[in-house]
Amino acid sequence: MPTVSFHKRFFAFMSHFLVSHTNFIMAVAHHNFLSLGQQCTLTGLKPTACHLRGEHLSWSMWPAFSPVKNTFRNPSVNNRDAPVVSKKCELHKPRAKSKADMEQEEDVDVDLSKLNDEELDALFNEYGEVVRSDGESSSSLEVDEDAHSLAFAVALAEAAYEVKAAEIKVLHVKPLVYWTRFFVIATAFSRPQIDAMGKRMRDIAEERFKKIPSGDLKPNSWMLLDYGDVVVHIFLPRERTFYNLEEFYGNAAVIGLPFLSQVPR
Amino acid sequence: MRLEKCWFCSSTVYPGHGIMFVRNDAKVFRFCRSKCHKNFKMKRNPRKVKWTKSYRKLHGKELTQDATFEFERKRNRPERYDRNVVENTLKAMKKIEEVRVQREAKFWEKRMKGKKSKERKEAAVELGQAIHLVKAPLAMQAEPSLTLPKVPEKMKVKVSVSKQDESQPMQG
Amino acid sequence: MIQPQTYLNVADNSGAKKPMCIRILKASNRKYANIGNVIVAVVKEAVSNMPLRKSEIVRAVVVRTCKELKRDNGMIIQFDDNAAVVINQEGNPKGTRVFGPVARESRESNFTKIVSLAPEILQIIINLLFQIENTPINNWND
Repeated sequence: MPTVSFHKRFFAFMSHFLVSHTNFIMAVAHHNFLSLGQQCTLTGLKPTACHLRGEHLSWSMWPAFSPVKNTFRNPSVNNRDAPVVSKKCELHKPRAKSKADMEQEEDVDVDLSKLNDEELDALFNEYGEVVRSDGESSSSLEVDEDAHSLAFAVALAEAAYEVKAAEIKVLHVKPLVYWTRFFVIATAFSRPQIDAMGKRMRDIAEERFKKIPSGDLKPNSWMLLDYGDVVVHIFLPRERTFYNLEEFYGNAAVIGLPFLSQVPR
Repeated sequence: MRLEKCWFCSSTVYPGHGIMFVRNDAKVFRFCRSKCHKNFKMKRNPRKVKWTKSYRKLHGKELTQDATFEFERKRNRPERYDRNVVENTLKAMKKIEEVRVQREAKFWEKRMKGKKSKERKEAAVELGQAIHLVKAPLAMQAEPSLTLPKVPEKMKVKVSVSKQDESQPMQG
Repeated sequence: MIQPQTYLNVADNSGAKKPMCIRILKASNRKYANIGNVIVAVVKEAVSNMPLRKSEIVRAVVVRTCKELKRDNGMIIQFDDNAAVVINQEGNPKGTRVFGPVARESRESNFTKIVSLAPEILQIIINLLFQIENTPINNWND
């Protein structure tokens, strides 16, 4: 997990700024949630203060309010002690604390308005490290699936290469369209070649990846094999320039093909 | 399954309910029921229609800024299934709901704070103006104790009635 | 709900402007065409300087309908207009680009070609119910 620390000055400045507002956001949010019986509405927040509850502020400010040292110093222990703070969920943070922490905190009521610069600096030095959960970890599954479809797409492209297709391209279109992940685009020079290419690809997909394309398999000047996460387009040269898919998906990343860089057979 | 918000009234659209309208610029509008859809078709602005959430929030009738609302947000990244997370989330949901209800009650109380005295004042004024409807002026002259000095007592009765009325929506 | 005599809009750059439906294909006992169905249409209005001429007879795929479209998950979708994409006998679109939103159903009825030429495909995201937050929320057990 990456640790993020803030510049002292920034922190001090921010503290001052917030102290000047009557409602301290995180403090309010925190205490509200813990002690419901007491005065606990956030409605009194001024709009400016509310805006400030953006990304940096809340999670940079938070440490000042946690007198429990190890919560921020030992991020790795577990979630009970170490609040995992992500940019997006600054408001979860206070709640991710254990009950013991809460009790401790209620005893130590930090009054920022009474602190001066040095004290703030000291506070910062003590607690000024925020642990952020790195966003990538939760999408690891996605990455796995991507890798799988990428392998599949490359295998199909290789199949096209073996039947002498030209201008084979594998595009990563997932950022652009939601409905598929990879495009494989290839040019064939005659209809029998398109057929052969399609057949070979289908065989490989079925044997090695157990996938069957949807769509009709009639001979066509634009054959399209739809494998869900990988879509294969085989064009005749005329159709390829006519539809110009590469330009349409110009923002997609082109995947380098290992077999193309080898010495031509 | 995702629970969307109605474009018009901001209520939750449960799966299988309502309709989704797609404009030609691919903007998607979801409606929880035909009422909202019809109001949309009439080109009404939800901010100007009194029963919608946006009107109520805009006019300070409801809690607008609250930490509990932050949980209910659109997130486009699907979360990997984890039993513990689900369990905790289910627990959290109950708690958050509890908190939200409490805060809303508090807000309502705050909003209704001056109402009672205001009503009382208005009632007193009305009583002072229309006392002749209750008691004939002649009778009042005959028995002066019935006139204004007595008003506070009568008022008390009135207030207690209105208090009952008010307390009902709070319970419900 | 497209039936013969229905005028549609064209959602591509094939050059037709106003096709009129004259027949619904593969619909012997069906009155209306829905999203993803192929119709035969006559071009009532066309853009000049384009290969498609007025009164030409073409095939087209319906991609948007004013009539609500029901999905299996209970979702009901309604579009602004009735629109179609002109295709040739092979099933390839005659235009090179498709405009406006296109329902996913056209992919399910084997018109992925149209989908891959379209900029925006209506998506529905079926996610987990419990995606409240990216990070786990713990310690709510009290």
